[in-house]
Amino acid sequence: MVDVAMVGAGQTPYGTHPAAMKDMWADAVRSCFASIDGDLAPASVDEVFLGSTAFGGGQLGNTAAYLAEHAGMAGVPARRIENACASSGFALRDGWAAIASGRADVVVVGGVEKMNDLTPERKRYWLGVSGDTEWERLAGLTFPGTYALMARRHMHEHGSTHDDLVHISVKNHAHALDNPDAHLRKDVSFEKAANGMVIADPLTLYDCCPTSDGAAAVVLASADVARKLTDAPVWMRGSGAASDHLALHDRPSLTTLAATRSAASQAYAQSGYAASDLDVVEVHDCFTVAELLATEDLGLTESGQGGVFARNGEGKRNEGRTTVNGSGGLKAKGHPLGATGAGQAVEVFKQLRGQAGPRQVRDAEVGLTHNVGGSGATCAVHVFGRSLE
Amino acid sequence: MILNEMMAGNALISIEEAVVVASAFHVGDRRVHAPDADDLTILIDALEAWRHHGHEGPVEVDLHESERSLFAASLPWLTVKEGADHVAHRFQCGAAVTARESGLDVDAVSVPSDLRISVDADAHAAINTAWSTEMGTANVSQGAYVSGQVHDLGLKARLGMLAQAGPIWPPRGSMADGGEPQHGACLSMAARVVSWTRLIAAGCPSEFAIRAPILGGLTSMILSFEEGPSGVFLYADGHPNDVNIDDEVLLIVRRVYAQDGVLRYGRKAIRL
Repeated sequence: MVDVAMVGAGQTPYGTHPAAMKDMWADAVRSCFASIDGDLAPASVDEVFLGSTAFGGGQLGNTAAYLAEHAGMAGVPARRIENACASSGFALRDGWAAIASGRADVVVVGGVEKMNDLTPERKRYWLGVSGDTEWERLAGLTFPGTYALMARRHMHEHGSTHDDLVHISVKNHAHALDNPDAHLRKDVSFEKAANGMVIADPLTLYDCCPTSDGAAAVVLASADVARKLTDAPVWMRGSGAASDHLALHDRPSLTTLAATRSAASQAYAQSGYAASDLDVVEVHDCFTVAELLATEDLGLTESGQGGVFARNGEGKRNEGRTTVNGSGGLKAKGHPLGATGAGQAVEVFKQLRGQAGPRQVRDAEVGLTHNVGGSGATCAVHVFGRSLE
Repeated sequence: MILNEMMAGNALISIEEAVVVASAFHVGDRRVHAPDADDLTILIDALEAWRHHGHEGPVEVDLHESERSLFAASLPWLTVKEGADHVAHRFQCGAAVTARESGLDVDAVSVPSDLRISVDADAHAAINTAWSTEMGTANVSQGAYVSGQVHDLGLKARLGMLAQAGPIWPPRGSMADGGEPQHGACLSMAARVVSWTRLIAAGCPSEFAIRAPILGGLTSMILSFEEGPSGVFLYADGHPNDVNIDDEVLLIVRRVYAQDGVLRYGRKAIRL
């Protein structure tokens, strides 16, 4: 199997953009190629793997061809990969596989989502289409509801509290203050987050990520090509992916995401690293309880101890054991659905190359991205390292 | 006659050869349907109460054509037959199942004042208006949704709680070994709360966008059945005053939502 490295990474700021989807994607690709140390042009890549839910349906079909053309890659084999919020996490896995298998030498992997140009009614419709439509949706559930069900059950089984979730919200907002690309750059006090408007009991506004516009892209290369392009490649050491029952009620447990555990197990085994080796972790905190569960499912703490992990500040940048969502995470950096997984890789790329500026994690050697689709029906986990050893 | 219990938001009268249910909801002295109920659901309530009280046998039921598939899926145990020993009657916001020769005047049934649930006239009118708007042909889906065909194909599982062997509910299309799923039994209508949430109106799916603001959001629950499977269900006819994990609930047939001019029904939960 061919070793694979990230040699370039870039993204747009996340937020509410005046730019169209195609323009955001082109911006992200330009930013990505500008970060490559050597010379490489978009038109010379072998393949494009694009994650997007095509939110709003504006270009639901042939999205990848449309966007490749707008980013200087007309004619390059391109496809859209859709796994809800995990779309570009799976695009990353497919791009990695294309190179690891020897089929390609250089690929572009990325994602894009335009979410804030819809009426509230259309946005509400599109925010629900990735859940289980036949049973969950007709029982009144959208994703705030499914994650609220998980949160209440975790509190019942493990004694976690809403205050534990508030700690996660406050931490991620604090981290985002140092991220110029973050959607929500504002200091949020514990008191404010603890008293937010209830969205889906027990979750409040401050437990929920925003709906963001944004795009992100990375360039992956085979080891031989990577070494020609840069002296500081970020190696993809492990890739894992899994799926689970779409509907929450079909799963044996509401307090763990089996897809995360399976994907993480694969990625750790392939990489040779363990959870205790991680310096930088970007987890899928679409809701604060999702981060709580991720810290358990990724092995950063024991099962049932996610609340304690959050309460003790163990994910705080340069303070805790492992920096969790040093970018601000989905909660504060933002969540442009199809771009989120690629955006996580962009953050790890910068952190492992020491290019994260004021949010730099000290001595960052090993990183992980964790990208979840919906309420856990799909998950992609990737482990990255500064070295191949 | 002995008025012996409340059931599913109804006053329930049980006598030897008859079961009568009447909506407990009232605007002043006028009996009205519960927010999610209608003539069909109260008829189903009456027949389920009839069975619950130990009655069985073929029943004669006068049904509208549009009700037949919903009725059959909701009551898979029932034999409907012309000239049967029992007859299902409908009256204003109520229904009764009587022995053919009982002579019971079901239209004379009224709910004693101490068992009535009083509802605000404006709120009741708002819900009725919302249902009318929702059922209008202008209320169409914006795209991917549960089509009428998909809904109808799932009726036996949705209303009758029919599972496949295992038991697995709702039924799947194929087994892990590639084999065809085998039909199993229907799940019991009683279940236990595993988790619950109450969503504000803005957090509800677009299918509920018209009624959710009037209801103040929706209450959803994950329920576990004693046979093993779990499911997710709305709470019926508003919000529970109090709900806790491990509470026991009963599943009853109610309206869920309307779209594209078609009313969809399903099971909803109510506390025992």
